This record gives sequence, C-alpha cells and structure tokens, in this order.
Amino acid sequence: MSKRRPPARELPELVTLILSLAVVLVLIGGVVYVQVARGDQPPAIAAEALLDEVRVEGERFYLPIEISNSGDQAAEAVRIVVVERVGEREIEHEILIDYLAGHGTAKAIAVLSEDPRRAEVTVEVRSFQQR
Amino acid sequence: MAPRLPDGIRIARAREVTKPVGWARELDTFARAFGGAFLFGIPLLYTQETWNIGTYLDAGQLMTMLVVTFAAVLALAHVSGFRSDAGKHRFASDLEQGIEALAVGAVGSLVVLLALGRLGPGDPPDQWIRFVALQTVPLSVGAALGNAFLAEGGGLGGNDQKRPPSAARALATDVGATAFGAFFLAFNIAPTEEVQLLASEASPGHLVALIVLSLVIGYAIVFEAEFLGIGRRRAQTGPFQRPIIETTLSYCVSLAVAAGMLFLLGRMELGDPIRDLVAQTVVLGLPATVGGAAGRLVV
Repeated sequence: MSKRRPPARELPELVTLILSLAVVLVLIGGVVYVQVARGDQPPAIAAEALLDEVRVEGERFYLPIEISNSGDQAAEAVRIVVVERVGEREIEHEILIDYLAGHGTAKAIAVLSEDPRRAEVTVEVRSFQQR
Repeated sequence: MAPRLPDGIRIARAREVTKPVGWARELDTFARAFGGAFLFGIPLLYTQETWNIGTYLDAGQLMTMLVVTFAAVLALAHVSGFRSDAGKHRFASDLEQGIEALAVGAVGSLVVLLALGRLGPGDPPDQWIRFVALQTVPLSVGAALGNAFLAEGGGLGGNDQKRPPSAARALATDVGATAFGAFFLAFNIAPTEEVQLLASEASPGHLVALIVLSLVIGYAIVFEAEFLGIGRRRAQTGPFQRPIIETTLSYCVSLAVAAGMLFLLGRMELGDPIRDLVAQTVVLGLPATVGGAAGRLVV
C-alpha cells in the first residue's frame, strides 16, 4: 500500500506562509532588540514649565507642564508640584501622573491664578514609585 | 449528488456556494483568522492595564510569553485552526497555522493599536515591539480558534440547512442578532474608563480609521471568512441582504447599541459636546461591530 503524499502547496498559501514567517521573525527580532537596546537605568524624572504655551481662560492661566522620564525603567504615581508665589503666599498645585514609561513623556496643565510669565512659578518633582 | 429539498421548500435565487480556490481561499482563510482574533482579543486591546504592562515587561518575559503562546497556538491549530483544507491536523500544517496565527495576532494588534492611537510615530521603537508582542498573545489564540468559534459545520454548529427566511424576517433577525451580539461584546468594555480615555485622545484621523476598520472587520467576518451560516446568508434575498448594505446597516445598529449603552451607564450625557459623543460611540463601535457580526452568524 503506497503512502499518501500531502497535496502540493499552492502559490497563495506559500506566499502567505512566507509573509507570516517574516512577520514572526520581525517580532522575535524586535524582542531581541528590546533586550539589546534597553538599559536598566532607574527612572529619572524631570518636569519643565512650558511658558511659551500659556493659555488664558477667563481669569485663569493654563500652564502646560512637560514631564519626562530619561531612565530606562517606568515610574508610577509621579507627583509634581507647581508652586505659585502670590505676594507673600505660596500656592501649591499638585499634578499626579499615574504612569510614565521609560524614555516617555507626559503633558499636564496647571491652572494658576497669576500669569506665570510674570509671577514666580517653580515646578518640582516630589515623588514617584519605582517598579 | 445534491440533496433533495422537501416539497414546497424553494430557495429563491440561491447561489450555489462553491469553495473558493487560490487567492480567494487565502482571503477567506485569513478573514476567518482575523475574525477569530478580534472576537477573542478585542477586550484586551481596550484594557489600559495591558498597555501599561506592555511598557515594562522585559525582553525575557516577552519572549517567554511568545514561546508559550506559540505552543498553545500549535495545540489549538491541531484541534481547531483556521484553515479548512484537508491537510490540516498534520504536524506540518499545524506548524504553518501556528506561525500564521502568531503573524495574524501581531498584524491585528498593530492595526488596532494604531487606529486607537495607542501607538504613533512619536513612540520609541521598543514601545511598538512591547505593545504588539503583548497583544499578539490573545489575538493569536483567537486566530487559532477561528474554526472552533464559528466555522461552517463546526464549533457552534452550522445551521445552513435551514430554510432561508423571508426578506423582512431576515432583516429583523439580522438587526436583532447584531444588537444582541454588539451588546454582548461591548458590554464588557463600555463600563471601563478606557473608552473615554481613547475617545478623548483620538484625532479625527483616528476616528475615521476606526470607522473604516469597523466596516472592514464587520464585512470580513460575515462575508469573507466562510464562517457558519454563509451558505444560508448568501441565499437570503431582499434589499438589505446585499453585503455592503447589510454591513453598513449593521454598523449603524452597532453604533446605536454602543451609544445607548454609554448613555445608560452614565458615560455620556445629552449635554456633552457633540465631539465627545461621536468619539466615544465610534471607539466603542469597533468591539460592538465585531460582536454584532458574530451575533449575525450565530443566530
């Protein structure tokens, strides 16, 4: 009794298989790239007030804050405080970023009562969680 | 020899359903694979936690997940798979389907993540790889289960032998089944914050991409994937039983279900800006359309 041979593969089937194999190889190559390219530096968070992008809405000043993580690892619960000095008083505005990936950036808006381009405004990174 | 129909039963303008060959068969096969992938994997594509997890898993974890997924997909390809050819259940065929299922998962997750604005040109390359690799897991499993979910004559059961209903009844059944399926799948996602988050960040381009993707997936699942009921569906007559019209009508029903659900759950209110109403509905419209398409095939 002769052994039945599997049917010959059609061209479309061959093409889709080759394309699929290419996609899987790219995916595996990508994961290897992640291993090679990624360092293991802990999160390093910086926050910068974008004074050029201040927006005025009614009597409020919307100040964009750019928060960046130059470390390789992600940070969680990043706490930023914007301190606005009005006369003798200091008003603190807190910004909480749930999650900031390694080498990632996030943008937040602080709502101020004084024009940050004239008043004294400082931005501080207070805390974050490291995985 | 074709089976004889009982007296009095007539299939009006029924087309003979011939098995496609060549490129047409490959198109059907991959439509079935993508259909299974989206049915199984779309709730995870809409989950914030999986986006976050994707950003910190190390390469070893990602590779382990892919290897385990490939093993699982091989096993699923053996018992189900998404190809309907006679050569399946051989090891070589299972291996090919396993590779193809992984590729379907990767491509499917990449397309949806781009349409949802979760990935963009500004993101670093390693983030693209992490996101896609992680989301490849559920979508590959879904692709490998393509036949088990909805294949003709398999899984949930083929009911092609039923008499084709009248046009009005077919329309009512389609609308009802779409609404039911849309409700079933979208209800898993509607209460979560992800819909509002995605909608708030979506650009007009993303929304257009989501609409196009929803229509393409809805069409592919019902009319290209050779899932169960395809013979009966092609035999149906009536003004709404043309593929393009039915796909568009079903998308509208899915959007209505998505919007209704978001209103009922308090995620949207009538006074909200029209842009928000539209964006949230379109974002939830994608899973609703996938569910609606599956509902039309099952009922």
